[in-house]
Amino acid sequence: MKNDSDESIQKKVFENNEYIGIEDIDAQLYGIIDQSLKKDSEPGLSLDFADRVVAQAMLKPVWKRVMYVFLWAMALLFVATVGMYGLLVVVDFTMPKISLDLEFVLAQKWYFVFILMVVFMVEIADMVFVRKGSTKNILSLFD
Amino acid sequence: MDDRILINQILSGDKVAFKKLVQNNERLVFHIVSKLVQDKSDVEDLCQDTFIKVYQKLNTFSYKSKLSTWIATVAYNTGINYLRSKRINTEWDDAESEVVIELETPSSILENKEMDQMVRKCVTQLPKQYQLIISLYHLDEFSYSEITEITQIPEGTVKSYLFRGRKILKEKLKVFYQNEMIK
Repeated sequence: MKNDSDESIQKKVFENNEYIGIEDIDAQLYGIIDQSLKKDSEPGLSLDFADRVVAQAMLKPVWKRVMYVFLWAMALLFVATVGMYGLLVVVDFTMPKISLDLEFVLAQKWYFVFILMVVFMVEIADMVFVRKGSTKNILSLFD
Repeated sequence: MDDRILINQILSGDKVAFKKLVQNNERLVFHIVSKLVQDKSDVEDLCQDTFIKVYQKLNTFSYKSKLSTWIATVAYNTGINYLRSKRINTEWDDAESEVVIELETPSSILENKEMDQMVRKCVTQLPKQYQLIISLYHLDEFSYSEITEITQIPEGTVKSYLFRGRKILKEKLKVFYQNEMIK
């Protein structure tokens, strides 16, 4: 590692600039390169680079994502089924004249597929958005 | 913050800690990747890949070196693998090292009054390996042994690249000073 601090190098190099001869370049070269490169005005990476990297790195591995989708679908299905039964009970209790049979509830396989599709689509959209540079992971809202 | 604490926080799933690691090292990674890869559009993607790899392999970090040295190694390997995938020569042979950089004419140097600008311009004209080694040594302040660890280039060769790179810069600065004194 180098010994001179940037400040002292800068002072040495630029103090009495006109007296620095060609023979002094060897001694000053380290300092000149150091400070010139450190003033490097390259724009570098985009401002939200760190956010994008974090979002992408936090994407779960595929098997975890499949499990995640499955568990979310199951949870939604459970809530929806309980909701349906609850609704039937309430309707049956409050409006006895209306006859509702369980066939309606048995049609749950359709909303199961529907729920699964919705969760998959959100998950796929999430992966696409994050890979395209979105800093937000949609499903992380539910973590 | 101590590397060990930061790593433990990241491994326990702390997003803020990982963001801090990225922010602390993004310039270093950018310096390395941009010296290896010319295509600017690929540089940011490769920097991103580097940090994803760092995140995925962080549990294998053995604390034998500084965290920044390890990250620099990952960045260097990512850049080299990219060049290999594009079938771009990654062998830094002596033939390439002998490339002579065309000196600017005195008049163009006189127009370029900023020495910093001049030095940076000269550095970008150096062969890739000199640029990278000079950047790692002067800009990122790695030691010879750390540069060897990052690039797997023998320490003697690192010193040689640094010496030759500086020699070329010296020649250019001589011309610059001569013209400054004539003024």
